[in-house]
Formats: sequence, structure tokens, C-alpha cells
Amino acid sequence: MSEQNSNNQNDNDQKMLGIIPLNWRFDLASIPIIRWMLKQRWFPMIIILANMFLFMVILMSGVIGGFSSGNYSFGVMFVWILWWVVLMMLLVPVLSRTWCMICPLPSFGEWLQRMKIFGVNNKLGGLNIKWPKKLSNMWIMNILFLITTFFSGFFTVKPLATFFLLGGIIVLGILLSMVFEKRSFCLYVCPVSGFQGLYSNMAMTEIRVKDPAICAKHKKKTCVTGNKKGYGCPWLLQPHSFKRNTYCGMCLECFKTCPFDNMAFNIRPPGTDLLVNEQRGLDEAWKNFIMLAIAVMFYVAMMGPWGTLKNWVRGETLAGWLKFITLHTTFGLVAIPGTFLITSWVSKLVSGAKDIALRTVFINLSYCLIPMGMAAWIAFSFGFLLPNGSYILHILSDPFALGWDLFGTANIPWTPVGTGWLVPIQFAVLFGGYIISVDFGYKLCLQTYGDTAVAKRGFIPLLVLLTLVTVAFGWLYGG
Amino acid sequence: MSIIKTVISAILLLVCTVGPIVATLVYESSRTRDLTAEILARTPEKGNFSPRYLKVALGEKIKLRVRNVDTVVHGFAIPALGVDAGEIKAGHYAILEFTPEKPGKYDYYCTTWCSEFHLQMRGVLEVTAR
Amino acid sequence: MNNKVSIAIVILLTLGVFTWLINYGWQNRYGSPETYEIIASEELTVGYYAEDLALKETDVFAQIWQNIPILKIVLKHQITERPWPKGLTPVVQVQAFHNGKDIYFKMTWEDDHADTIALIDTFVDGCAVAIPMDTEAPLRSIMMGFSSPVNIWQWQANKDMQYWEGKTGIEDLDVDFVYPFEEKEIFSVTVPELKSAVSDLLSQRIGSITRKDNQIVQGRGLWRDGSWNVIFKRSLTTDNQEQDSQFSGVKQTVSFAVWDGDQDDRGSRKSISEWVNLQIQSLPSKKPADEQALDNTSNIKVYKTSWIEKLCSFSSVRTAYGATSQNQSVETVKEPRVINITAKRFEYSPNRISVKKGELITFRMESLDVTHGLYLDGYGINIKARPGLIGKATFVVDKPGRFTFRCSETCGEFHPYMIGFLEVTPNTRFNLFLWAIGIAFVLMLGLVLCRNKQKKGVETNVGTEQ
Ligand code: SF4
Ligand SMILES: [Cu+2]
Ligand SMILES: [Cu+2]
Repeated sequence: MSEQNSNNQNDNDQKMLGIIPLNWRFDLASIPIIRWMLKQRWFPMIIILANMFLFMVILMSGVIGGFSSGNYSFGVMFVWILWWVVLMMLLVPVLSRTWCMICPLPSFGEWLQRMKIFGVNNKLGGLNIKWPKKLSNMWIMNILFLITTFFSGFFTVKPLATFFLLGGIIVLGILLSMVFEKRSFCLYVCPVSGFQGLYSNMAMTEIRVKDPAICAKHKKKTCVTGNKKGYGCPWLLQPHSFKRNTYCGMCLECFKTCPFDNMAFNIRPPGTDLLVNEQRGLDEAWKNFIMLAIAVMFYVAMMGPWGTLKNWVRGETLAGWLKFITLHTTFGLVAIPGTFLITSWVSKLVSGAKDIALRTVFINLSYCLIPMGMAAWIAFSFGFLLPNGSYILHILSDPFALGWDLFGTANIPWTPVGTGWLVPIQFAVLFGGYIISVDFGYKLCLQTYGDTAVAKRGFIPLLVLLTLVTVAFGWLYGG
Repeated sequence: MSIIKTVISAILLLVCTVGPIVATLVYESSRTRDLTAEILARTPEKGNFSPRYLKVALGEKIKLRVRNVDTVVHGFAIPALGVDAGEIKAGHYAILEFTPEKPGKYDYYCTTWCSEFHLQMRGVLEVTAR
Repeated sequence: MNNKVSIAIVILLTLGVFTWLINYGWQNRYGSPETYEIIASEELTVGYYAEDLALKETDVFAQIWQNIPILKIVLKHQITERPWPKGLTPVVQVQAFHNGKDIYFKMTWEDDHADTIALIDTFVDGCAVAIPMDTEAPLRSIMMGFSSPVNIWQWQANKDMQYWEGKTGIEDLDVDFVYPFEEKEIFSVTVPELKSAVSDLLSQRIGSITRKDNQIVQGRGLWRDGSWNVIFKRSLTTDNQEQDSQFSGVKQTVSFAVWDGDQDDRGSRKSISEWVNLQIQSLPSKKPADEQALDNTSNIKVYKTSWIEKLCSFSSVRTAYGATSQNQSVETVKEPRVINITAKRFEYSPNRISVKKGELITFRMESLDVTHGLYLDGYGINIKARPGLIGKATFVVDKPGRFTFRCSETCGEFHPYMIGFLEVTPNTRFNLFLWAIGIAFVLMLGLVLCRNKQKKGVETNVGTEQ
């Protein structure tokens, strides 16, 4: 067991909620068997293969199920009840981007590049073009994700639409990996990637180097170039100087390539990456806003009582659907950022700090919305899981609605579980998110304004905004 | 050694990609070997019963599987033969087994109000004398 | 170069396979590519003939009927509601005309035996014409007035005997159109004075059929050579627009039903037709038909709501057996507050219901299209409303807060999102939440503001709650 040094440059002795020291770490890989496993070539590939099996069933149920009722379709239910909910409630908040570790979606492309499944072949096929610099940010993912949600009234209810979405991701993955180098697709295009990256800043796990000094002395940097044991970072990163989770897909190659066993798989207090001032930018800020907007929009459209809006969302008429996407886009790209801009402006004004750019304040403070947004999404996901979770049992036994009963659960009827507690659970989650948000809000203020007195003043508008947002979410979910 | 590895990889790859497809087809065809016919239930505007005409010989035991592939509740019944599957919910199915005693044309109907055109949701089972 | 070629092949292959799969999935999106063409409603022309029939025995076969085109209508088993018929009358021939004052229908069908005596286990032949009160109602209203009240003219052979020939046979209990016949039922044992061989009825939905105050339809039937011949006669329009169907417009819809006593038909055991469009040819000397149609519809708009309400209050007793309430926790004698909910894809109306804690309420739900359900979070109440039947549940709202109720019968693709809110005030849960947030706010604000000068970047205890 070893307590690691935190990478936070200037906030070394900060504590989360004043209790948990943010630089507390426990290296899971210090357990020999885990380290041994992480270093095997078959790990995590074997999970990817199993996952591939599952996704083939999902894809099949979209096409040959030929089955129009979403709530009894394996694909729709598995993806939107189980996968999405688990992603939002467990994988991202706790395990960072572990999903990407076991994700089968880009695997076809990757296998085609490597022409190997388990083995190592650092001479990658494909054109291996560098991803254009201008596009090396989150904007494509932001836009693609937003566009995906335009069709949420189709994707979440129609099996063929779910097939189209997942199949489309796979196809795009293959095409892009044929043209661009390594996992460019995952880094810059995959719609699932963006929010995972952003929210994994909150995660309770991370992959980091144990001792930067060793890396500094290691001139060959095999984690970047690759060696016989493994590939150079497929995510085009410098594993030796990881600071944030955002762009690390946890593929575990660096565990294999590092000759000094210098990589660690840390457990840490949630949210430490929010304070890491590296690669911050407007793209990530907007990702934040979009995620918040989608949480609101989804709730209103899917769990609200308003039928007209539902008719818009499901595209009953083109005009209605256009209204929906206009409203949705404006809300996510303009209204929420606008509100936040005003808050940052007021914050800067009240703080009295002169020499800090509004842009910096805006970007830095936006990171305190991450816990809030996550809480909103987790609360929302409970609203999916509790009432509709029982469908999972049915579709597991009868994936293609052909009357199978593989596990004897095909006849379990739709049974909402604990929905009476849904609203209190959502309130509790929101409250937690609020507290953490405020906590990091203050820390971010300190980081931005530098001086305690200034930060105190600048923090007040942010506190008010966070409070209002929380109350608004609470009102929406159960007021 | 490396050949063995390649073979194992290839097998694993096949099992995880083509595997589910083949398994499904094989399993399903083994389950449905003794079916006389499968009837899909959809509202008339989505295609109605499919098929809407069935022909069987007298004396044959008939085994029908009615699958509701629609998004609303349907039913299935042949009132003249006293055959009734009751309500079949969306995503569910019913198996019906019976042996008609007289030749003739028997209407089968959807028994649950499912659309404005619900009354058009029917088909004909023709039992021919040998 | 070789590399590029193989890359191109991979790309094309991927795209090709994907497109093919999408295309296949699209073709099979409803399970199989087979399609069905909706059959349009049949048309029955109601021509104008200056002929007045007094319903004498000979009028059933009067010369005039020879001139009027015959529409053969295929009948089907009535199997949407139980009990079902045991047999089928496959075809009925229908004719209709009007003389500017009265409208006439004639129904002819084959029946090798005339059943004219009603006994405990013997049933009579009969037939009926059903006319929706609301001419604008969608055609789905077939089921006893599912989306519009329906005026039903029911001719029965025993009443015909009694009315025209004075033969009673046996004490005749007027029960057989009270629905459903075989279930627990409030029997009407009064024998109303017979004013006609045709009963003039109204119904709003299954289980609400009722005899009108004014019996104004006349009819007569004759059985000859293995066929029943029945004519109906009524004035085209009446003064009582609330209760009588009106033939003042150009268009009207009707449907027909036949009961065969031999096969134990009665009540819902009958053969029915789909809706048929009536083309009423305008009279030689009347004001333009569409003008009439216009003020007719406006009239309908007025009486439509009032009728629905009247019928609702009327049928509140009778629909009790139509209810599928599963959670009746009524101990009090208090009258529950009835909340009428209509459900259609994918919305409840009202979609937000506000009640006070402790109230005794009844959810009374009706569907406007397909089968819907209502599951209420927290209370575990589950109601199912099939089209034309009412689902009910009575319970005390003893838990405060906002509860979601959701559809529990798959009713379409957006079914999982079919949702409504029950707000039981006061919403203590939300108030609690607000208090928690408020206290946290004050606490954190205080903690931050009261912090004295500290070293730059050092930060303690903010956000600590306890
Ligand atoms: S970025 Fe997208 S495609 Fe890539 S591994 Fe993650 S989820 Fe899968
Ligand atoms: Cu049907
Ligand atoms: Cu519904």
C-alpha cells in the first residue's frame, strides 16, 4: 500500500468537504494479482470479446427482431435501460472511463489496424493520417452528441433506430480508423466519449504514473512508442505525464509497455481532476452545458406529463420536431451558457479582480457544474431504472421476442420497483451533487482568483446560481 | 506456437461475432420445427395479420404461434372453432393447438380493440377435405 | 498502393453491409415486409323517393323496395367483448331511402328458422341499426358508442309479434340488451309499455346502453322463405337533438347487427358489420344540404358534451362491473371525489392532478384509442382501461408528495413515456428538500464569509454540513 503524491500543483493540501484529503490515493495495482492481470495481453481483450458477443445480440435484435415495440426489444432495453444507466450511475462516476476499456464499438477498426487481436504489431495498417489540429477538441463530440439527442424519440424506442445508432458508431469507427491513426475516432468523434471524458473527472479511479522521476529518466518512453509487450498509447497521449482522466481510455497498454512497472491504477476521492488546470477550454465548458440541457430536456420529454412535447420529440409532425430541436439547441447552446456567462461576469465584478480574463473565470468555474450535472443524470437514471428495470429480466430470456425462455424469466411482468421512493432518492442525489458542486465551486474560485478574500466575494454569485439550479432540478423532479 | 495463438484468436473472434447469429438461427429453427405456421399480429395499418390466409388439410393437428410484434395489445381467436388465445400483449406470443373437425373456411380475428381499423384485422383458415 | 486498395475495399464493404442491413431492417420493421391495404368503408345511398309506407304487412315487400339498390354487407362475429356469438350470420342485405320526411331502412338476411319467443333459455331473432350521434367522430366509435354516443334501433322478433299481432306467449322480461347478460347485473324487470317493435336506445360505451324516454322508431319484420325482412322507419330529423340521431346532413355513418335466436344470440352475442357511410341524397325542395350540415355540427358540439356528462352520471352505477379496480381500500362511507381521466397515446388528461392529503378519491379512467393502464407510483395502484370499458380505483391519498403515474399496458412506442403526475399536497418531501438546500446554503455562505484571512490557496471546511 502506498500513498501517492498528488499531481495537483498548487492545491496540495486541499480536502474534499473538508474531510477527505484530495491527494489520498490507493494503488489497486499494488496488489500483485491485479498488476499481473493488468499486464496480460488477454486483458481486457477477453472482456471486449464477451462484450462483442452481447453487442452482436443487441444489433441483431434491432434488425431481425423486426419488432416494433421498444420496451420488449433486447437492443433498446439493454442499451437504454441497462447500459446507459450503469454508465451514468456506476461506470463513469466510480470507474472513470472503464467503459472504454471494455467497449467493443471501435474494436473492428482497431483489429483491422493491428491485424491482431491479442498480439502486438506496432506497424499499424490503415492510412495513419494525423487528426487535424483544428479538430483536436471536444467540439465534434459536442455537436454529434447534441444531434444524437435530437433523435432520442427514435433511438430510445425503435429497435431499428438503436441499431442505426450503434451500427453507425461501429461503421464510423472502422472508416476513421482506416484513415486516421490509432483511436482518433474515440478521442475526437465518438458521441459517448465526450461526456464520459468530462464526467470522469469526477471518477474515483485514475491511471497515473507512480513516480514521475522514473519517467523523467526513461528516455525511450515506451508507453508512447510501444514495444514488444504492447502498443504505444492508442489514445495518443503521454501516459508518463497524465494529469486528468478526460482523455484516457484506460486501455491498459501502458501497464504492459512500461518496463519499470511505473503505472498505477489508483483509487482516489471523487472529483480531484476538477481542480487540475490543464487543457481546460470552451469545448469542455460547453460539453458541461449541453449535458445539463439534455438532462432537463430528457426529463421533460420522457418523464414529464406533457403530451404535446412528446409528440414533438417523436416526430409526429416535422414542424413539431423542428420546434423541439430548436428549443433544445437554444437551451443547450445559448440559454444555459448565457446564464452561466452572466454569473461569471457578476462573479468577476463582485470579486473586484481586475487582471483575470472573463474567459478564464467562465471556463474555470464551469467545472463546478460537473458534480451538479452528474447528480442530475444519476437522478434521472433512477427514474428510468426503477420503473422499467424489470423489462431487463424479460428481454434477457427472450431477446428476439420469439417466445424463448432462456433463463426462466420471460414471464415476469412489468413490475416497477421502489418507485414510491423515486423522488426522495432523486432529492438525495441532487442534494449530494449540490454540496459537492459548491465545495468544488469554492475551490475553483480560490484557484481562479488566487486570493481568499477575492475568491470569497467571487464565490457568492456562483453559490447562488448553484442553489437555484439545484432547486430548479428538485422542482422538476418532484416539486 | 504463434499459429496456435492465431487459431485461438480466430475462433474466439468468430464465436463472438458470427456465433450469436448462427446460434439464434439454429435454436429458433429447432424450436419451430413442428409449427404449422407463425402468424404475426400487427394493426391493419402496419400490415395486419401475416399471413392472412392459411390452408391446412382436415385431420391435421394444427399448431399456430401468434406473435404480437406490434406496440399495442392484440388478441387472436377463431370463434367458429372455439379457439381463443385471449389477449396477447405487445412483445408476447401465444401457442395454439387444435384439430378442426369439419372442413370449411374459418375466420380468425383480433379480439382486442387495437386501432381504428381493428375490425379489419382478420384472416381466413381454410380446412380442406382430403 | 496495395495498402490503399485494401483500405478502399474495407471501407466500401463496411458501408455496403451496413446499408444492406439497414434496408433489411426497414423492410422488416413490422416483423415482415407484407403490407395490407385498408379497405375503405362501404357506401349506402339513401335515395329520395316520394313514397310513404305505413308499415302494413305488405309494406315489407312493397314495390318500392324493388327499385332501391341492395348493398350486401358481410357480417362478422362480435368478438371484441364477451360473450361471443356461437355462430355467424354471414351476410345482411341493406336498402335505404327517404321521402323528405321519413327515412327507411330494410334489412334482409337468411335464417332458416324464425325465433319469435323469448324464454329463459330460448332467444329471439333480431337486428339493429346503430347511428353515431356525433357525425364527426372517428370511425373507431363502433363499440357501442366508444367515442361518440350511439343511437341504436333494435328490432326484436318477439316484440314484433307482440306489437303487431298481440301475441305475447310468455311474460316478457326486458333484460336481454342489458350488458353483459351473463355477469352480475342489475336486471330491469319492469316491462315498459310497448310502443313499437323497435327499441330506441342510446349508449355511450359498453355497459351503458339505455332505453330512451321517447320511443319514436317504428319497424316491422316478416319471416318468409327462410329469410327475415325487417324495415325501420323514423323521421329524418327530430326536435330532440340530444337523444335522437339526425339525418339532416349529407353524410352519416351506420352499422348493422343481426341476432340469431337459434344460435343463442342475444346481447353481445351477435354478428356485426363495420361502419357504412350513408350518402343521403338531398331533397328536391330543401335548403342546401351542406348549410344544414353546418348548423347540425354546431348543434352536435353543444349536445355532445352534455350528453357525455349525462350518460356518465347515468352509467356510474352500471359501469361498476366494467371496472378493473384492484386496489379498493374503501372503508369509509364518504363519497369519493371522482377524477375522470382520459388516456390516449401518449398522454393522460388531466396530466397533473392535485389532491389534498387524506382525501378519498376515485380514479375513473377511460381510453380514447387502445388499451391503456395506469400505475401509480408509491400507492401501487394499477388500473387497466380497455377501449369502451372504464377502469376504476378508489383509494385514500395518504402519502404526500408528487407521484408519477405511468401507463402499464404497452400502447405504442412511446408507452414507457406515457406519464402523469399526482400531486398530493402539501408536498412535504419537496419542502424538506427546499429546507435542506436552504440550510446548506446558509451554512456554506456563513462558513465562507466568516473565514478569516488564511494563507492563499489553503481551504478548509467549506461545504461541511454537520
Ligand atoms: S470512446 Fe466511444 S467507441 Fe471509443 S471506447 Fe469509448 S465509448 Fe467506445
Ligand atoms: Cu388487433
Ligand atoms: Cu398507454
